[in-house]
Amino acid sequence: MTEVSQTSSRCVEKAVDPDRSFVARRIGDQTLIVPVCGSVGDLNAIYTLNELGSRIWELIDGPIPVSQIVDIVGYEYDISAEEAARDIVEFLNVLESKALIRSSAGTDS
Amino acid sequence: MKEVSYGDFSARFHHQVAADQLPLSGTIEVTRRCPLTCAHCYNNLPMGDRQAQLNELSYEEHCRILDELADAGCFWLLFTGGEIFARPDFLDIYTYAKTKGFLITLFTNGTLISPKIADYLTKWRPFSIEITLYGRTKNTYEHLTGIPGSYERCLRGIDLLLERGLPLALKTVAVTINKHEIWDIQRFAEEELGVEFKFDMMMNPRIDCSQSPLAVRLTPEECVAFDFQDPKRTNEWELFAERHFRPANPPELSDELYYCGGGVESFAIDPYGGLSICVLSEADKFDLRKGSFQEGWQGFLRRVRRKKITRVTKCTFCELKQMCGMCPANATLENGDPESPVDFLCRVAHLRAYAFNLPVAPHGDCEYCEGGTGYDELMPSVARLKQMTPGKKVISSNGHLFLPVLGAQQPVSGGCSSGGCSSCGAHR
Repeated sequence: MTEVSQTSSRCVEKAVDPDRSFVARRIGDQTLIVPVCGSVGDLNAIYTLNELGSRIWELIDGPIPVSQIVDIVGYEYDISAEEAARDIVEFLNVLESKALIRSSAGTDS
Repeated sequence: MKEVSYGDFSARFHHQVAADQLPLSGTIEVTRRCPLTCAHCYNNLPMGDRQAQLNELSYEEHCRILDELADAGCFWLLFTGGEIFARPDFLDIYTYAKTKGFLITLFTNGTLISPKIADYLTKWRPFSIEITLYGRTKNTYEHLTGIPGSYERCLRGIDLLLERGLPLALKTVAVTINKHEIWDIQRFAEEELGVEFKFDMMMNPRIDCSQSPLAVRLTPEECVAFDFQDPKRTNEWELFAERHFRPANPPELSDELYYCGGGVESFAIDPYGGLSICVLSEADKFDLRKGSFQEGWQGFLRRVRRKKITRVTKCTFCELKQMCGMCPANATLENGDPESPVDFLCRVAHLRAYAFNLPVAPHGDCEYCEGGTGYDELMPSVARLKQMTPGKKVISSNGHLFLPVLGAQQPVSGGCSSGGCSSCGAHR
C-alpha cells in the first residue's frame, strides 16, 4: 500500500460495499444517486456527484478495499496517494453517513 | 457530493441538460382499460376489452423499452392509463422501472388499490402518486364514473396510501357533473387529508375521435370563473402573464408547428408501443415494436418536431397562446386539423385575458379581439366575471357552488361522423 497519513491509513484498510437500495443514473454529464427501495422518500434523497465522485461510485460496484480505490483514482487522476486517500476517505465518509455505502474491516489488497 | 432540495435540483438539472435535448420526462400508458366509465375520459376502454389487452406491450417489451429509456437519459417517468392497476403485472413493470433509477409518478383512480398493493408501494416508494377524486359525494362521483361502489373503493385506496405515509396528491377534473363539488374536494384534500390538490377543466375529445367528452365540458365562462374563485390560480395566471407576455414572436420563430416540450425533452408511449410527442398526439407515432427508442426519439420525433405551419392562422402571432391549450394534438382531435384553431380554447384564452386585464395585441383575423364578430358576445361574460371577487368561492343557498352559466351550450357531436377528425378518415 502506498504512503498515507495515519487517519486516512486506518480508513484505507477498510472495504466498502454499495447499498443496493440506491442506484446511480448517468444523465448527460450528471451523475445522480437515486433511492430504489426502502423507506427513504425520493424527495429527500437525490444526490448529485461530480466527476471524481462519479468515478469512485462506479468503482464501488461491489465490495472493494478502499486502498484499491485510492490506487486506481491516484493513477487515473495523477495525484499523490496521500491526496487521493484524503479526498476519497472524506467522500466515502459522506456516502456512509447517507447510508449509500457500508464499510467493513476489510483487508488491504 | 452535493445534497440539494428537490426544487433546486429539478430546476438546475433541467437547465444543465437542456442543450442535450435528452428525453428527460416520459409518460407511459400501460393500458387503456379501466374499471370506470368516466364521461369525460379521453382514452378509457372496458376492463374486458380482450383485443386491447392482447395488443398491450408485454412485461418483457416494457423492460426492453425501460432499458432503452434509461440509456437515453430519461429520468422522470409517469405511469398512467386507463387504470394502471388494471394490469395484473403492473407492479412488475413498475419495480423494473424502479430498479433502473427513474423518478416515478403514478396516476391512478385508486379504486383497485388493495392493502397488498399499498404495502408494496411502501417498500418500492414512488416519487408521487396522484389519485383523481371525481366528487365529494357518492352520488356525484358515481354519476361521473358510472360505476356503483366506486366512490367507497376510491376513498379506501386513498386511506390505504395515507395510512402508510405514501406521497399522495389528489386532483380532479371539473365538468358539468361535479362542478358544484370542486371546492368541497379541495377542502377535503387540503384540510382534512393534508395533501396537495389541483384540478383541471380543459376537456378534449377522445383520442378515438369521439367528441363525447365535450358533452360534460364546462363553458369557457365557467372555466374562467373557476380561475377567479381560486386565489392560487389567479396568482398563477398573473405571474404567468408577467413572465411570458412579450411582443409577438418574429415570423422566423413562429413557423414551428409545435411549441411545447413534446419531442424536445418529453415523450409518450401508448399501451401498444406507439411513441409520440404526447398522450393526445395520435397522428404521428413511431412503433417501438419495430425500432428502438433512440431511433424513435432522435429520428422520428425530431422530424415531427421540425414540422412547419402550412398557413398563418389567428394563433400564429397570438400572444395568448402561452396561456392557451391550443396545440396540434388538441386541434387534430377537435377539428381534424393540427392548425385549425380550437374555438373553445380561443374563447377561454380571450375571456381569461379580458377578465384579468391582460393586454391582447392584434394578431390577425380573430373574432374574439376588439372589432371581431365574437367580441361583443364575450363582453357580457367579461363584465360578469369582473364582478366576482377574486379568491372568493361562490356558494349558493343550498350549499352548492353557484357558477354562472354564461355561454351558449357547447356543441356536442356523437363522434367522427360529425366531428371532423382526419385520423379516422371521415373527413380526409
